[in-house]
Amino acid sequence: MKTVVGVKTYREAETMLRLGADELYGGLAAVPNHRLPAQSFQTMDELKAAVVLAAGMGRRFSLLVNQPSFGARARRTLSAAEELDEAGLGACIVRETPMLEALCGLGLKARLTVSSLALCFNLPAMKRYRELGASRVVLPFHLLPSEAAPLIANPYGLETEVFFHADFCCANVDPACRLWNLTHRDQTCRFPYRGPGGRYRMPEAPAREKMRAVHGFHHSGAQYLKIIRMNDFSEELEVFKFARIMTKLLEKVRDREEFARLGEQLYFTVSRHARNAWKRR
Amino acid sequence: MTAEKALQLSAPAFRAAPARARRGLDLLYLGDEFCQNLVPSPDDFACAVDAFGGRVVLVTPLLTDAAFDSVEEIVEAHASPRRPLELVVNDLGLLHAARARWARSVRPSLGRVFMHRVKVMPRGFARGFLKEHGVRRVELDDPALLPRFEGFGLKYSFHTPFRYLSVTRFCPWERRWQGPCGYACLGAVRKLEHPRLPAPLLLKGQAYGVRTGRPPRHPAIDRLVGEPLPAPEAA
Repeated sequence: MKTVVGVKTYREAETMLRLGADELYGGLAAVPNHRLPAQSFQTMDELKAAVVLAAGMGRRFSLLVNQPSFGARARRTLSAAEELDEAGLGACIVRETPMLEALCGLGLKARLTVSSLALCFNLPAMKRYRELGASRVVLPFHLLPSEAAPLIANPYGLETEVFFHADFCCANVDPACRLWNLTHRDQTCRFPYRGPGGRYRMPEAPAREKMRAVHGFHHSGAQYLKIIRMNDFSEELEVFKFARIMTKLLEKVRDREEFARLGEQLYFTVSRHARNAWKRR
Repeated sequence: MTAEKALQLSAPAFRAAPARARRGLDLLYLGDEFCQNLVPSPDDFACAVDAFGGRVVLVTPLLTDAAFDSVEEIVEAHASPRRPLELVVNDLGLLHAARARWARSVRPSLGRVFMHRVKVMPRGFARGFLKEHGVRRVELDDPALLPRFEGFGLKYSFHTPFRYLSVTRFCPWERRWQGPCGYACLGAVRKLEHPRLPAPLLLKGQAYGVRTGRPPRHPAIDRLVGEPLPAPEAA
């Protein structure tokens, strides 16, 4: 699988391309995307330079426009996409249909990727996104390899991208989650709740289960593996390193359980991010 | 105007419910908006139609292709232009199919998960989107959302006493990804408390939410949907 890596500065883009990332993606702080502004490029000039750098190396850079936006903010998004398109933007990663239609209407050279936040769970939804001009779909976090197999083998010519589950997976279905609204400051999904039988954490799949998912997606034919943006770039580098090892291992270890066992061991050995994430839980 | 009275039950809950639970109801909402294991099979749906005797609304969550096929089978068997089937939709693929393939035999209602996506669309776009897809009804559980759809000529079904806040697909009851289901969640609710939260969270099926009070009064709310909320297992 080819790696698609999130970056937030020119320096990070340069580093990831040098280390062999096949594609990059990132947001612009002034353009609504699904992360905090600090996890995006701060200026258009820096982002444009990263787009030019990737395009010069024949690699795709995708712009995140995966947050709903209205009025002036939507116009700003479209104008940023047009400006970056001139610089060699590879794709826009889009969540909602109004933005998808608006970008399609601009006639950009850049392609359109459907964000995982669009929750494309089945072939009829995928067909609809194809009709709306998309050429790739990022499959939702919570779709299992067996469930994703028909989408990966879709007859519409759409590429599919999956998250590197091994490192990260939301406990809940992200765009269907409004837990943030409870306090407007906490990740309440990470709280240690008091529940029947003692402490309760909103569960997510354990590491071995996630490794099985990576194995399943690979053998179903998913082409692209997405590695998310992180606040701490040194942690992201470790995750990228881990992902590279795992993709090599996928070629060598056919047996799913053996792959999952080895992956789980490596998960806690290689990735400081994984260990920290585990401690935080 | 008197609002219609509906009861929402998952397929296994309907099978387990005594006949008296269905008395006095205008409609039965059969299925679940959050977990596809709780959506009726075609056989379940046919049995419920026979047993209930009144209108049965098919309630659906986000659907994988396998679950989509099952819903498709129910629609093909139970919907016709003469007797349109009401369908609560939370999935773009299903909404699009409802328009493209079953425009005259299915009446889609915008589900509580999908509704949150439409509410963030620019207003003019949202109005056109709903019209294009033949949506004339929205499922709501939060009165604060009523103004978002004001002026669209929609009817509302208001759900109590559970307001959903989040949904997972890693089953919190059976501690695994979705798959063959043991229905461990059936008839159970978990109360989850944390000092920083104003009220306890409730875990019901695959959804986290809070308990709500009486439905608001609003001229466009013409249907009240109740769902059993057993006393939660406390800490």
